[in-house]
Amino acid sequence: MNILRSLKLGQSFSMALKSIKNNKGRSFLTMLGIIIGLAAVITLVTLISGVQKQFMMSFEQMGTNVVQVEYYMDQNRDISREIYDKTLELSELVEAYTPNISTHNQVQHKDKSVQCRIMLGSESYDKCSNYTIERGTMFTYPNIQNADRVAVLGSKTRKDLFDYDNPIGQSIRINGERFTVVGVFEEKTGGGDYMNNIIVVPYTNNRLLRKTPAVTSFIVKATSNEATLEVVKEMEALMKEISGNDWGYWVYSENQYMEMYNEQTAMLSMAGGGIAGISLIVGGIGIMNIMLVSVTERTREIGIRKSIGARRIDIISQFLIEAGTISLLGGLVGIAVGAFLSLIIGRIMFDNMILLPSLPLVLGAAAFSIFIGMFFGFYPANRASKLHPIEALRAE
Amino acid sequence: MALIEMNGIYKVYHPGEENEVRALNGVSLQIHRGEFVAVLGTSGSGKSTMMNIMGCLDVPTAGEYLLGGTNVKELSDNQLSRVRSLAIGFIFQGYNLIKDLTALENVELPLIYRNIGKSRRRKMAQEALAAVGLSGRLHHRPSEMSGGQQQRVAIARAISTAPPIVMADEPTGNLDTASSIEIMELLGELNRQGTTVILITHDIETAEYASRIIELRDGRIIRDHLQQRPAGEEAGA
Repeated sequence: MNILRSLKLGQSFSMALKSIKNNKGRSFLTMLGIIIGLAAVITLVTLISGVQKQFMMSFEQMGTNVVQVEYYMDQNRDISREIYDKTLELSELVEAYTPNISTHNQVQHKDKSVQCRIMLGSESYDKCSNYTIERGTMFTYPNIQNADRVAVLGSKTRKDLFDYDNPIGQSIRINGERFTVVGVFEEKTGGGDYMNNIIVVPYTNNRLLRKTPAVTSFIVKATSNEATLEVVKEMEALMKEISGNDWGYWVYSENQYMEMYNEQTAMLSMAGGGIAGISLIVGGIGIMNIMLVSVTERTREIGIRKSIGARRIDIISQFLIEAGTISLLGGLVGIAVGAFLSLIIGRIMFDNMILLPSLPLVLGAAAFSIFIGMFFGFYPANRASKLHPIEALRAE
Repeated sequence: MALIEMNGIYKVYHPGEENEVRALNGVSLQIHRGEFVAVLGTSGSGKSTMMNIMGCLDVPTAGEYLLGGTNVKELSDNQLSRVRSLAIGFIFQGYNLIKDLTALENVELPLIYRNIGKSRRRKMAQEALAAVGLSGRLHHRPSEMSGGQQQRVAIARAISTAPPIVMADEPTGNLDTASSIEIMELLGELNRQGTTVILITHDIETAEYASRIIELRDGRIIRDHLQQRPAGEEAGA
């Protein structure tokens, strides 16, 4: 408390505000460097977090820890047995498994008819593709064994075919074949109609709907990120064995991309951070410059203060606080500009996402701007404190 | 013990060079508590240099200066600031007020540097301004006041900390006669209340307000005499 009082913070701060007010134009120009620098930092960091958020959203649609497996070598082969056996072998790592065959068909209910994506999958299709049952149930393993004609509808398909009627227990026709609706999925957000215009049926209806025994595409859901990478390895080995080469198949997981993506954002952060850092240094030099001018202009004032008892530390703290205040004000404007730019970019680039800088970022940026002001203000402040009182008083 | 004691003080600018100036050329004197001393001399006589050294604003090239028994030469930069803060109040010819601050704020400044708390400091500053008759000008800035008023603010600033010594360097140099008389009477009053006043002037009439006149020429004391009846008292009576 004593030390604080002896630094005369309040007085220095009000002097700083006065001096900024008396030199509005000059103060603003001085702040400009800091404003631009911090606006750049804020926008950049927020932008990166927006990219991250969007990536997470697409992750959300796909579901996390998902491995996709596809086989190209023989379009008529059914490899579901081999894949299924492998998932049993890896049961520690695998949470769920489903074939993932898609076909497009005309679907009818009474007088309504829509074009729709039909997915042929197992009873775990919902888990593997990150769908949630809203009404009714997912079909079961016995349904698969019996090749029952049961269907689960996506939210858009349900709306198109049934409007507000309850679809559970009603029948629809896919490719002219009668299916009974047993469940409805919740709407998936962020993916648009594509994700929700869907009907899932047991994959054992493959011959009925696609006139082929081929099952060549699968989704395996692993229990964790580490498990996912392990499953990718195991599936690659299996597919290589089945294909007899290393190009007739495709094993893919977003988790692999996650790492690449993390590296890329890290690089982007570093490059952007470097640019922002340079502009902040330039801003800081601007502050140093104007503080030197201010010291020169106020030489007489410094002399007066010294003659009435100011110590060196008093003069230093006065000018440091002034530099810090200019920089902080610039920083606050910069944060506001950055937040505004983030909002605009969020609207334009991220599909109306409300993108705002986080609180820790704002506080950190404000603290950093004070630091810059003080760092670059030290040299002028120290110079002011060393002025000889007599010579300073003589200055005009 | 003398309040101020100078023994063989020299102040030499540019020593050894062609333009060497001996501003003070071996000055010795004693000033005691409660005196009203005028240092009289023409420009270039060394009187301002003498005040700067007495006021701890500058250090002598050679010689010994004791302020309250302390050898000023041994004091650090910070200790000199402390001495200026505690012992001396300055009044300058050009007032030397800070133009962005109001009268009250200007008078508060030395109190701030003495770490006096806000409410007490405000009260002390108001009292000092009242003592110079400026209670009605607390929130005026220097540019909104006459020269005489500005100098009275400067006096209030010098006495706000109640220092034992007040040094005034040509305090009436920029003022008209009426204002000059006011300022000199204020200094006389200050002295009667016990403050040691040291007045630097080139003007014999101004010097006559003091009880002792020290005449300086070319950096040496040529005359040092007491006045029987200071003019200030006559005018005040």
